[in-house]
Amino acid sequence: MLRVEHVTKTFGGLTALKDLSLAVSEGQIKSIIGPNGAGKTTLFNVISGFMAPEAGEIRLYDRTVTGLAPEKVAHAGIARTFQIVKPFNNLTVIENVLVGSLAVHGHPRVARERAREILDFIGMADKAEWPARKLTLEDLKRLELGRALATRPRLLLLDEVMAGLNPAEVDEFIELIRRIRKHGVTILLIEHIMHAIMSLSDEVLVLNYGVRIYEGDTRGAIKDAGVVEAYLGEEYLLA
Amino acid sequence: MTKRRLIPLLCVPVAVFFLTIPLYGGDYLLEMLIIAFWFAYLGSCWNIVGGYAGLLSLGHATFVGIGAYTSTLLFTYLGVTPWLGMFAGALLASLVGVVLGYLSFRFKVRGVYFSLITMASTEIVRLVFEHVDWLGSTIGIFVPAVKGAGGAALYQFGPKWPYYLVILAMTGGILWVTYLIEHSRLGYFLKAIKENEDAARSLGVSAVRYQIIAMAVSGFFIALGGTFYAQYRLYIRPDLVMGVHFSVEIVMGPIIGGWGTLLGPVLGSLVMTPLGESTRWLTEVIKTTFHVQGLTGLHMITYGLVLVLVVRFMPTGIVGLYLKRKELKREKGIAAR
Repeated sequence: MLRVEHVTKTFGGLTALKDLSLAVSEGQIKSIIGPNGAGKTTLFNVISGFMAPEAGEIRLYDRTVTGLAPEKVAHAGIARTFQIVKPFNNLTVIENVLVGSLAVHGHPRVARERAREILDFIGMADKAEWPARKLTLEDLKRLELGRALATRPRLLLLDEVMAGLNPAEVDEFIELIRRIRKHGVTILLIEHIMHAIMSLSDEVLVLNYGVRIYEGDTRGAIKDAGVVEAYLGEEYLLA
Repeated sequence: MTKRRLIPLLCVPVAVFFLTIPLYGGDYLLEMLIIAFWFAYLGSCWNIVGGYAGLLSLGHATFVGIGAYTSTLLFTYLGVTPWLGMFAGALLASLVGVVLGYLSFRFKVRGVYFSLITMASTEIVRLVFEHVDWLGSTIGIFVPAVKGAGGAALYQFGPKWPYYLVILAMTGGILWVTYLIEHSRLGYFLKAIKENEDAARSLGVSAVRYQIIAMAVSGFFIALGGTFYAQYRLYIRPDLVMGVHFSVEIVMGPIIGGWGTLLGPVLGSLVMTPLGESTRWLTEVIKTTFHVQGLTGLHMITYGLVLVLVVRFMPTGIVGLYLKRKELKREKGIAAR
């Protein structure tokens, strides 16, 4: 459904993404891993329209979304979360989600119903009337996810949604992401927690210095010598 | 639930109270309330852009000026009744708002820079009006007074009370409009953009589009306030309805009462105008008792002092302070349980 073709993005002299291509098929969960500075978040920014690439093309189904403004990309069916959560602090939890659902359904009453469903789905119905600024990190991450879901995306880009959570919370998120996929949403995931990647992903893409060094099934990745050297480290093989 | 029912019920005695003031209040009281409610109206219009969208415009006087001048020029040159002329002014102001908004937001002029751009633009407009003869230049324009019964059709009344009722109705109207916006798509989107523009855009909300819409709506309504002033005073001059000085006066009410809240601008203006008046009165008393000269700026100093104190001790204004108290109380209740 999503094809990224020969995308290059530079910041001054630094090449963040170099002639990068990847494909995500419908219903898949694909993870992007790689060391810090590999270009993972830049890739998300390019796909979601926050940055325009110098070269290359991004296609969703048959439509090119390259260089579209973020709001247009969202309407095309791609939603994202941010690595550093960006809640609407002075709005309540349900209002945060409502902004997402209002963007697709014009009618406030329909949108509010949709927002309630989302809150049930992410398990935050009891905190609907809380202002977002009072939430814990875990809840902020949930809200970030729920808000993105409210736009009814076909493709969801999750930028380290599990970072900073404790193991029990990570397991809850793994379950939640599985449920999202069951609803027919394709997921592209940036993550560092290997346990989450191993249990969720159908495929992984490994980036290093803006270049793809591996793309394929998860078992293959952990045995790949290049991946081990660039990212996982020798200890991972021994463990 | 009971509280939700209580608030509309409370509106009734408040409305009755203000509506019946002309029955017993003198001209002095009416004059003060007309000006207070005029600022309440202007502040509420500004609040749509300044409070809800969080765009600190210091150029809203431009729209007031456009409203005042359009209806007045249409009346003096073409004889069009200001009741119609005010809508021409409102549409023109709205258009100017769209252009100004487009130029600012499209090119990502934000925060302090937006304030500066609006400040500069309102000064430019004021200077143009002060130097073009057929616009009245610095002398201003007198609205031709109509004697007798035909006045009402031309938005002119002899006594003060009809003006009072008009501005009261306008204030009620803008509060209703604000309430509708607050609970609509536009309202939620504006608040979301204000809180975090990137997040709003990632959800499909076009920041530029909705901020421009806010400018258009706010400009439209505030211009009607310009016509009101022209008809009430029957005289306009660029430095009275335009420029930075007047823009700042518009913003005072919302900031003191609580910007981004429904009733903040009204409360703020109802506090500030009488305060300014009483300082003026006090100045007169001091002048005559002690035989001193040159205290003319005293009410401006008072304004400044109040502004400093409010920004220091209750930056979210009267309503903001109330809401914070309420939240603290609720939290204590939760903790006690």
